[in-house]
Amino acid sequence: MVSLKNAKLPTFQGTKNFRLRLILSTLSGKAIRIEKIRPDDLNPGLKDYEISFLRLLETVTNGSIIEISYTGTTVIYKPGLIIGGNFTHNCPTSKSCGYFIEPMLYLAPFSKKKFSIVFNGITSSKQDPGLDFIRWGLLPVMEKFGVREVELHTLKRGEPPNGGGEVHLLVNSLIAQPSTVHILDLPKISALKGVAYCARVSPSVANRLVDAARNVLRPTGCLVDITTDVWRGENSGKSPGFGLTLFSESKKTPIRYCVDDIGGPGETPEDVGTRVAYNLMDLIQGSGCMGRNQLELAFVYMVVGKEDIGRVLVNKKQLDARLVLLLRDIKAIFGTNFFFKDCIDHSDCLYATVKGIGFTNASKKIA
Amino acid sequence: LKNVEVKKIWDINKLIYMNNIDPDDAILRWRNEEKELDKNEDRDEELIADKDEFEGSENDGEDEDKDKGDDEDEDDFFQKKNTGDANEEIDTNKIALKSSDELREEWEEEGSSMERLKERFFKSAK
Repeated sequence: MVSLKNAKLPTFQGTKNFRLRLILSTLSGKAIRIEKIRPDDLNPGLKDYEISFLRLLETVTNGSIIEISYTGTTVIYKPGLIIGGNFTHNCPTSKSCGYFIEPMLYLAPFSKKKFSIVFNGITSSKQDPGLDFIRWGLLPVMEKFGVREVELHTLKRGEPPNGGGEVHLLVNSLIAQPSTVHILDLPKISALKGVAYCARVSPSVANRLVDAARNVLRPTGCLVDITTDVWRGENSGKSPGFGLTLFSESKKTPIRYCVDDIGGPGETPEDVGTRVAYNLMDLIQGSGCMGRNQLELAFVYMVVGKEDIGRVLVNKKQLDARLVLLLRDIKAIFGTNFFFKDCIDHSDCLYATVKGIGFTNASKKIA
Repeated sequence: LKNVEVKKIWDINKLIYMNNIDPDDAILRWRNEEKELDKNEDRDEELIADKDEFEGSENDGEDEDKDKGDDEDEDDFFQKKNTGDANEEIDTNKIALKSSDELREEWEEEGSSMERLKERFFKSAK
């Protein structure tokens, strides 16, 4: 095995943007080094969920080389080919399945074989995207870029802290490269929809979530349609819990504004329902053509797209430190810059434009 | 001329890719909130100046050497400053939205928010 220790590689420091840096490296085929991973921590180095993510990455690729230093504070990653396939991944209880599923959406369309992964573990958390957020928020973004056949099936709910959930991610759509998008208008929302779920608690909790959210959303004058999803018995996991996902519907675009949250200790369903509903309105008001949590996926797809200029409308409020970090990482790995230009029609918005690198899916089988 | 106020306008396209500026600072500067940063910097400089004044009488002879050192330091000023904490775990968190109480207050105070929202985003309000 060739050692990468002495090679000159794009180097990053710290754990910020850890998953996306590895994803960008895999898509670009360039090796990277990540150093100074929690060097001053009482438990220095990688956490269990980061190790688990590296294992997952190793599974979905062929020929990847991962070198981890003795203390775990430095990782060198040389990506292999994305091959996909059928397998099961057991997620640690420190992170929900969303932490592992989300990065797979960046890789799956450019794989050799279809992705069919069953994730076992916690299905929702306050920190990571929930399953309904992925289904209603991220999959439509993929659809906009030409990745249409993606399914996420919840086989079992698994609430924190003990989990016990099971989720099946199926990506049937294998494409050579994402299509170029020009999303320059704010969508007109025709309905506000959602899913209130509960597991191992009284079914009335889901109805209380719906009522609380509906009270906040009613003054919009828009159609509000929130369904309930009650889980009980063997399929409801090992811990009780409840949560709500709300999203907007537009007739012209598949992209939806989407927010989700779960009930924490001592929180009533009314608290959660009200909070999520207000969050949705706040998100709508402070967004461009899509929500802030969807922008990262869209930006990466725009970069790996055809050698053509892609444009999306972003709100000025959406530009934050995390997005700046992503743009810097994209430049470090792909060498391409985003350009932001003022929007004439909407004074609080900018056009984010980038020229795709003309990525071609080398792993794809020729039909 | 005293009334003329010079306002810095930061170009977001340059700020984003200035690796020597912490992403948080880059966004603050772009939003013309650099005044807060400047205030903090000024306060730091004043403190340093006070300290120098206090120690000045004892270190007069070392001033020339110090000036040379300062010139060298200027080159890597940004390298040392504003690099942030690379291990702060922002990646794994969802974008933090405001709490329901804050949001409720905002919506109740700004009565026009809902109208604006309706006008701009909702089809039924057309």
